[in-house]
Amino acid sequence: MPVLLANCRVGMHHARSLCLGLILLPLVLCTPLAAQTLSTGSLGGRILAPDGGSLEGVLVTLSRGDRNWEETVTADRTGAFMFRFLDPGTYALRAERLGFVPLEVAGIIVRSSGSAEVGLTLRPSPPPVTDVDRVTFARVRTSAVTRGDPLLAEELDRLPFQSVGASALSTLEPFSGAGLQGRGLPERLTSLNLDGMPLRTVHPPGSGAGMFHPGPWPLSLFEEIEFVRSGVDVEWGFHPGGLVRASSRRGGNAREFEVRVGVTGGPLGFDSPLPGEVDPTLGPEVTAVLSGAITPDTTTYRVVLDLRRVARPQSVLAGSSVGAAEAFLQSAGETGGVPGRGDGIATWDMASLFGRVDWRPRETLGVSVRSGMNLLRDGAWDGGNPRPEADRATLESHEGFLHGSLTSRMGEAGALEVRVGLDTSQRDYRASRLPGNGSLTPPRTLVHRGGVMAGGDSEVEGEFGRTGFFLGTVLHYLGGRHHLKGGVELGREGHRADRRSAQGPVFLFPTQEDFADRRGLLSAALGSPIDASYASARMAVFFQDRWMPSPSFSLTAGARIEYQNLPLEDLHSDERWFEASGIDGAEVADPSIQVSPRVSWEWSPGGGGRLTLSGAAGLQRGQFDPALLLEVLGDTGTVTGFRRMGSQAAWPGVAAPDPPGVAARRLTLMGPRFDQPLSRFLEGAISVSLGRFTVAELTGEHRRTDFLPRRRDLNRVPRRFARDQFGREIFGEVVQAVGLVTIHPGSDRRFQEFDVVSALESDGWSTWSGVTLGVRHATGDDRSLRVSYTWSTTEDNAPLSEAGWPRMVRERPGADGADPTWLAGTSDLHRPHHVRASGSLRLPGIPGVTLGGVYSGKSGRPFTPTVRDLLGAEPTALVGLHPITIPEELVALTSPLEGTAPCLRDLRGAQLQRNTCRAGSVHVLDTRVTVSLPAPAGQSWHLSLDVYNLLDAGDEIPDGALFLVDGAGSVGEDPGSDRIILPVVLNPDFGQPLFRSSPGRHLRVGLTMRF
Amino acid sequence: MRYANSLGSAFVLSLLWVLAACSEAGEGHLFQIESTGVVSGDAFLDLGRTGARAPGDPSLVGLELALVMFGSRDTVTLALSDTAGFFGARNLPLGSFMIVPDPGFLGDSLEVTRISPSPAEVRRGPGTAISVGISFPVREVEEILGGPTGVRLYARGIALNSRESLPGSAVHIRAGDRALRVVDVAPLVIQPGDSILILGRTQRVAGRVILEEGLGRRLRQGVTAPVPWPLTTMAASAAGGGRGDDFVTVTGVEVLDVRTSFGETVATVSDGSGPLVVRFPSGYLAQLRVEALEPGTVFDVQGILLRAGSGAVRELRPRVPTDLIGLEPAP
Repeated sequence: MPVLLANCRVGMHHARSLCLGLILLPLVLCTPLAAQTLSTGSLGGRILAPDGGSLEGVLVTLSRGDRNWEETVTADRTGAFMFRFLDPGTYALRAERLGFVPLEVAGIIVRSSGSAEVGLTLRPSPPPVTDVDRVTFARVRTSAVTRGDPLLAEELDRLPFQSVGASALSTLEPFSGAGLQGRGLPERLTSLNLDGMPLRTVHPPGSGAGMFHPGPWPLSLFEEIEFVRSGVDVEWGFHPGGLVRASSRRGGNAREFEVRVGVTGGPLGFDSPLPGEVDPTLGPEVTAVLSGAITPDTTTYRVVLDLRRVARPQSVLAGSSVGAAEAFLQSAGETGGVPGRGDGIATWDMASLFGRVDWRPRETLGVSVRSGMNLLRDGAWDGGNPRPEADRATLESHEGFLHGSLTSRMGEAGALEVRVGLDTSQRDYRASRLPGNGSLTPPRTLVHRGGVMAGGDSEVEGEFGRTGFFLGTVLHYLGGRHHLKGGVELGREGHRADRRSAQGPVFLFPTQEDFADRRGLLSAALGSPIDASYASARMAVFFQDRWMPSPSFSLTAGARIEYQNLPLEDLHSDERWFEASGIDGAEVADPSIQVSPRVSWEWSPGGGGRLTLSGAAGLQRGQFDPALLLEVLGDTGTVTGFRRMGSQAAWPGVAAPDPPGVAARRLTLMGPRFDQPLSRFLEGAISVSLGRFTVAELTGEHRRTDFLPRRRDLNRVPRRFARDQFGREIFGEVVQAVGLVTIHPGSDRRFQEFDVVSALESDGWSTWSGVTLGVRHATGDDRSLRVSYTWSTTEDNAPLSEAGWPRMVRERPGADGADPTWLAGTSDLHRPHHVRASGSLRLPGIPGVTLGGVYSGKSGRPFTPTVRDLLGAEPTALVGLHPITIPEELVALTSPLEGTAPCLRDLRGAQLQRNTCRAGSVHVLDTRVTVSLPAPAGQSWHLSLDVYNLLDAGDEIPDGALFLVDGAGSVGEDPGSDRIILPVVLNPDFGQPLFRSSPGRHLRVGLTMRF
Repeated sequence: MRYANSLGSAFVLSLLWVLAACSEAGEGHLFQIESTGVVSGDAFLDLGRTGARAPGDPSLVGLELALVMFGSRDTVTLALSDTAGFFGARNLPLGSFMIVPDPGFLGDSLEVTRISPSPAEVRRGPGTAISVGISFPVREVEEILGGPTGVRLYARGIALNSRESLPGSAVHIRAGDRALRVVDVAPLVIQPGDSILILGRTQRVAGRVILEEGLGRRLRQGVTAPVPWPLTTMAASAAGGGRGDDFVTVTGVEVLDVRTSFGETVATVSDGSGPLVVRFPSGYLAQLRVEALEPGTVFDVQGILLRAGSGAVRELRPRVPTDLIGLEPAP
């Protein structure tokens, strides 16, 4: 539980130790709720005399060394003291009273929304005072020995991170199952909150990018990163999975100027499966931080400016066969049409500016205003480009926010918090252009044999924007053993999509020779969707009670009620489609009011805090993905699907008079009832304190999310043409011509007037179950270590939706009108094993030298062995989706492969299953060495050397095609059944990587100077 | 107390979880194309092979039609044509269908001339009207000449004569280098050189296949003027080179003998290779303003080589007066 609150009226029973005057107090003294809000914490406690009596008049000074900040209060007649509205961070506390030995406690961690308690016993001392007792954090009881503790800025500073954004932090989170991806949920369903405000970036429809794509806020802007797994607190609305909660640095009275200068070299040693070299590049980075007081003790400011260039390898050409890729490039180059490029370096120029002003005119009132701006420009592609004159793809991104909050305490029992925010996110994607033709984008080109995929993705081209307004109030009340919280949230969002083109052409060629002769298949979407925009309002009310019947037990229950007004009246009805099918795309049921109840409990048997049991359960509503609605609003039949078989002489262009091809309109419809994702979760945890510095925890979680979006082609013929010998269903008439075995264009269309009629329906589900064992060991600033292991299982019924964007599956629905049975099964996100370790160590023998590292080892990506065919002109023809069984007559052919791919044994005569094989595990290691340099008094200088991705590791997408359809063979039929026998050959590249997403090794040298 | 707390929280948890488990993912979230549709149509014998029903085209009774979902090989339902050739099917899933006539009905002697529309799209609301035309197969002349008898079929070729120019309402057609005789042709307006399609029943007469009960249609007018095969009088008389029933010409023939029979002039001519009988209406001479054909007259003649009586000897039948070339009109 993030916070444990209790009234401070329970007496102490066991604070009798005289040793150094420190006694661990078990949940006796607790802070009033009013002392903390969502983005701040509090620290309270009680001072006792050795005889157990209260000690009045003790001066208690709380300080924060890295900010030159301190504050002093006087303990009241009961010995109690309280510091409120504290920034998250590590504090030191000093207690002094004449006649007693001063006592200092270091390493007290205050977390946002958290209350730390400390109990101190001062021992008498004869004057003069010459000694200061020092104890460590671990001996102080705080309420925060819970899972998912925030990571503080100091902890982040000691660890290396990729500079690409907060997503790198997912490896750090030691007590969560699947990091940022919300325990088996796609990234798109996970959110980022900044200072209690959701930070939402826009993404284009169809893109596979997740929430951080690609406008990162530098970590230097953050004070505290917190991974909240289930969000039992009803104040958190739409986060079905994990989320990152961050609060920004707040200024203090002391003027501070900090500069970090560094340079990153990379990628070094990028091991590409593709031909060509990738030359490393250098990226400078500068971070400047200025903070101080405008009016001492009342108004403070903090400004952070971050400029950097980030480089990472990019590729729009992939192949499981290097020879095939080389031949393809050569053939493409000879005719002047470059479909894309090989490996190259994309450089991203980023500028971020963040500022905040905090005004606290009196102790009971605080006002904070925060603003931020993030600019990103996609720079040049460099080395490895075989045609450097090609116009490059670009991306420009603008993001900004303005947040304000007001916190007012109303006596000792209540507090009011008001938050208001404005934010905007804009993206402008431009696809690359072919040399000499300003309107032609490199088409997606697939070569069946050799597994070559080339070309850009013009689908994302366009301008996309989001603006949002948010207003929320929270009222806290503490009475007796209950802590009540309630509030209202209002929000309004505007979304816009101006796509410049529909999905670009996709060419499929059976072999390199066919590519040279331009014989193959074409599937293209011609025309552009119309511009789409909409605005929606959202309202939520929530109520929560935390009941604390005893100091060692708390039960929290609450509910959140939400309603979002979507512009469903703007949905378009296509008369011709309605006339044909009876389906009216304009009739979509308005999402009803959603109620999300949640409950949690925490119990510390014995009250000593050594053992804590906790659990939680509840329902959480996710958020409606605006990109889906924008697609429906934009795809109203203005795009024509075009399919052609035979000569593709116009490649890389589409226009060619012969053969004529088949053209029909495309549509996108929203399901008759479209709900936001709904997650149900149940979790339990045992936390054990192992000695002074170590905490171990075992957690078990189960989550099921329903109403995930899926996509279906309503205009696919309802009955299959046949099954093949691998058990796969084939839709549309199989024909064989000019070396192709394919579907006759148009023969898989139910209504000939239409091409794909895409239905977005919220009938997807995902389950995640996992057990995590974690150990955390920390001794102040000297050393820290977090290690965890998670075993989990993830299942869903939404293949190819790893990024959260629903993809078409041609087998849906099956011949009987239902989903094929194999669709529900092992998720593409299923990675059963995940080990994480992070830590830092201040070398004892070498003053000023600190080592840090982050390691993440996880199972490789699952994939589905399949038959690569040209039976559908979709990109999945290369990557592969459709699971197979290996027929008896082909077992002898595949059995030699079972030594390296044992998963193939499971395919013999078995039921169709997806994701039965798995790529190699991925081990990522980032390291840092920091050296303190001699600096003038009052300053600190540090030199750091970071090596990112030391092992040059990254996910691989393997070539999952076990067999290739051989157009030179003949299609046969199995007498007495509807089976057809496809002519196939074994794929020599099975299991070889098609893509490798390693960012390469990076080296960064940085100098930090703090004045 | 502690245990009571635990029990209480466990109860709340269980209640909540049960509540959560009640929700059904996907229920009511899916589109269903639930409507069904109707198709109806008529099946007819497409005598003109036009693809559209013409007056006089008879209805096809008892024709079984399979409705196969487009892009599949599954027959969704069967429809049977009634005495008016009408057929229909209800409760069909919406979508595109192929209409497949029963192959057993068609056999080798019938074929589909046109199914319109194809694929037939079944939509909501009013039924889709389908026209199914069945007719006899089209065969090449050479195939007909070597094929079985008693079969109704179509022959396609270039007309060598008009229906009125030969006795027995006969029309001769040529395709490639083979010619076919069609007799008892129903009234038909054609001229030599027209492309025609003609239906008939094969019959063998004196060892040669002809079509009888001809029912023809002009496909295209004046495609090409037929060119006669040049023969000697002896070769023509013996139907040399398989030119029987074809359009031939002999040149430089001298009249050996002339007689009249039932209004026709029957001349025996020779170019020196042997005699050949040329038979034509006597009115041709009047039209050429030739008083009489005298022995010793030399001229050129072209026409259709027809069988003379029941024997193997052929005689030449000029189709029009101008097939008699080089006769001097009377002064």
